[in-house]
Amino acid sequence: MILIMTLVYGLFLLLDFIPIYRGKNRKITWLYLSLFILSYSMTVLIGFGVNLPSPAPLIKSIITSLGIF
Amino acid sequence: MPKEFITERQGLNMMVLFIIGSTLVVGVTDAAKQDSWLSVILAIIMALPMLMLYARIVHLFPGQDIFMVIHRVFGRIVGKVLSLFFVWYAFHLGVLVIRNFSEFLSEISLTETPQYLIQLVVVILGVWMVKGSIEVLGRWTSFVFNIVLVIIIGICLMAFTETNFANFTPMLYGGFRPVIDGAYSIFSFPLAETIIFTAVLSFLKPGANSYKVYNRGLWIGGGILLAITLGNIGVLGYPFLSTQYYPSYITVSLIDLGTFFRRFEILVAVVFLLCGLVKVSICLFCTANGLAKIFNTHDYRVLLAPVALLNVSLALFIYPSMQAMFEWVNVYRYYAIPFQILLPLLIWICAEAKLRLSKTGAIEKD
Amino acid sequence: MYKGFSEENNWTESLQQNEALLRELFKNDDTIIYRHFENQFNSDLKFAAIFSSGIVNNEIINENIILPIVANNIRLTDKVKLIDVLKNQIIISNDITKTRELDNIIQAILNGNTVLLHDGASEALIINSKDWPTRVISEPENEKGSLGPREGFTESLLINLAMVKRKLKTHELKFKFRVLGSRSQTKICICYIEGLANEAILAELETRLDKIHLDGILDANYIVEFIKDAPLSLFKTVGNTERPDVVAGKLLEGRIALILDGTPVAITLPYLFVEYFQTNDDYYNSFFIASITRIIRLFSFILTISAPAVFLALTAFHQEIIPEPLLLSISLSRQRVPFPTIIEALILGLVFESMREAGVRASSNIGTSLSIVGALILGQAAVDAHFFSAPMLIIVGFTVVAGLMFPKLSGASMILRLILLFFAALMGIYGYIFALSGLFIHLFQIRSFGVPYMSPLNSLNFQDLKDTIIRAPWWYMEYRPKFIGALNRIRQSNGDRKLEKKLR
Repeated sequence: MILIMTLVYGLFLLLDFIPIYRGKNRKITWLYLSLFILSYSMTVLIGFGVNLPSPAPLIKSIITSLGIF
Repeated sequence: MPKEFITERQGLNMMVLFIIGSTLVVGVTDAAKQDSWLSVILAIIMALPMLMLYARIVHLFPGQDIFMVIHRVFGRIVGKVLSLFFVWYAFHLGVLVIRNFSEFLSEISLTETPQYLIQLVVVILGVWMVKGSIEVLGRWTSFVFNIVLVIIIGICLMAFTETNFANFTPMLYGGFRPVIDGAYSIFSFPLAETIIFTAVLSFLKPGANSYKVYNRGLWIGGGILLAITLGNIGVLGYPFLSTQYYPSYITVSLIDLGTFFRRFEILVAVVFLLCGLVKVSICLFCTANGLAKIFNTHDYRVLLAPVALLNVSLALFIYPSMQAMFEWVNVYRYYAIPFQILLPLLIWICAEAKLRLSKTGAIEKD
Repeated sequence: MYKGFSEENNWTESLQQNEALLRELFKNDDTIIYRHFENQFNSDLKFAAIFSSGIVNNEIINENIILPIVANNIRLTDKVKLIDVLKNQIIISNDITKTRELDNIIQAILNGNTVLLHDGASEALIINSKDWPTRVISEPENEKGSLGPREGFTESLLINLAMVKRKLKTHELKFKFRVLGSRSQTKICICYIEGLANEAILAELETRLDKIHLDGILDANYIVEFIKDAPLSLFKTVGNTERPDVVAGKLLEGRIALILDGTPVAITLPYLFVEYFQTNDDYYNSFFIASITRIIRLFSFILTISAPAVFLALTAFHQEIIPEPLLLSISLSRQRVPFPTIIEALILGLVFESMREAGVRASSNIGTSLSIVGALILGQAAVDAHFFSAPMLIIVGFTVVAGLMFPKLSGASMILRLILLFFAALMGIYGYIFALSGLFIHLFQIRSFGVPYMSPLNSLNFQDLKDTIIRAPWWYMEYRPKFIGALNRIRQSNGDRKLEKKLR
């Protein structure tokens, strides 16, 4: 699973990121990389079986605390 | 980069596919039991003024998407914060659709395939499509629309032969309250989700009418929803219907035409795949476009891939299980209020006020 | 451009020096003939005819060049130079030019012209004496039609142009020559009808041609790969044909044709996806039959790329869809087959593709034995030996036969078939749909010279559909396709006011 993920991310880096990196727009490069690393770390954690806190219960508790539910 | 355009017809087709996208298999809420079809009609009527309001926002600033509008109306800082809200909504919607996708496929047949793989394929297709430009999405949608329409009409006609009209009675047994309750659910999912289109319809060809797109999209999409709901209730009946996660799929699986032609449910899955792909692509486009606007970069295309990957990452753990996904629908109707009603109202009022003020200002200058 | 020709060894007035220059250039090329002769009345007038043997017409050189110069009494006056006298009064030729450019002289010799030098002149005459063996005009092997014109292009540019010219006798038909390839010096000709062809596309074509700096252009494909819009795509965005009637038809639709010297293949552009399914026969046949065959072709294309994938998906993932009797017979025949379906499909596909390729490459008299090997040994025996199951053999055999309907698409459809098969093996029918979606996304993305590749299939405008999915009768096709011939859309002026009104 992690192998597939890493492979996919690697492919994305190779095919998608390199032309963007060559574009020499530093803002885009940093934005791209930060989103990329964020999502990669999340998938790897999930791949290792870590239970990440989902935003769904959080939203749910906010709404219930507002007292509509 | 030359300006991209979509035609009115392409916009309309996108909207219809967007509306029926995930609802087609998940089905509309069954809060109103056998009167759900009344809820659908009520929801369409409820959604009409809201959608006209969205169309108004598009119409007020031709050629500018919702993020530009927000930026213009509220200034830089507030505009960015509000834009971020919308980006989150589009992003989250994309996550939900992707998760829907993989849950559905792995439930009905791909039990062995990891969901991650399904989500990845969907997202890669979406990225590929939007990377081509919004025009590609438009052309693809128009092409797919005809196929989808033919399949849905065929399914509805076939469902008609299996309909048991006793399933529709007793009418309004539970009174009007559940009908209204269900209508609101249908309003928030999927009708008012078309708020996303305020970021898409800015690409309409000059001279195209955004009201027309919203109006017709609502009626055609709503009409298809109504037909599906009628078919589901007619074939399955209420109590059985509510035990199913994917009622349309089950409905169609019950239809036989002779002994040779049967098990058409694969067609439902195909339609869902096509519509869902459109929905995912639009959400991806909206998220990437909003992010690009927030960070003052012009090309949204470069952000598509990381946004899509992040979408998949979140889709992996947003719900612990399929049951949680279906429970979320009850939360969603409240969760969506700020994005679907409050923010658009705020934007609309401020935009109108701003335009009026600037107009009078212009006159005074003369 | 040519090494060794700097300012100092320029073209001089001395015949000997000039000839030495050429001999130095054409050193070790024994096909170049240097023929010296004199005027019989005035032996001071010395001439040399230089030409390349084998690509010249000896008769022209003997009787129209050498004979008049030798036999005539050339009277010299002070006013007129000898070279002009030769050009205007002596030599009998319809194409004769005077030059002092070394490049021109070299090219003239290489092209089969005769260069005439005379002592005391710094200029040379280039006399057209081209003549080389050409193939006779015959019907192209790869684009046979059952009806309509039978002629096909040959390897000679001028003959090809003549064939197009004879079909369209209008002064609006334009032929623009240019030379490509630094070593092959291939002449190419851009043909279009002024007023119909889109000027923007024409300009785009010229700029793309300007960028080619290849040394040899031997076939149309050398150019196609340079000017293609989507160079990595499986699909052609530039068309090719060997038939002059097809070229004329495309020109009338507002397309542009490129005809090359040395190859019978002409290029037409822009090229759209629907053109794969249009054949010249469609226009010569009754429109009913043409429409039906066109629809069959469209379906066959979808079948040829997807039959193995769908079969695999159904048998491996969605057995519930297959009706029981069919499922029973399929599983019965698969009972003793050792391979999984995907391996079976891959191996069989490989076998059939290699047989197809062998059929193309092998000499034609092996064809019968090839078919025996294919039908009996690979087909019957493989099933009897339980190597492969009969249904799979039928499916793969059908895909190959259906694929033969589109010789221009065979490579692409083979690869597409593999891709679809792969995704079907991964995710069943859903994977297949995903892959198909990807294919269409790609098709909607690419353009051919600015025209969306899938038009008019994405607009579904009835006027434009008249010549895509069906072939409407000729009297019904009032307009040219909008996406190409936008300049002058009315195709038939039959005095019908309604038509012109609709156009506005």
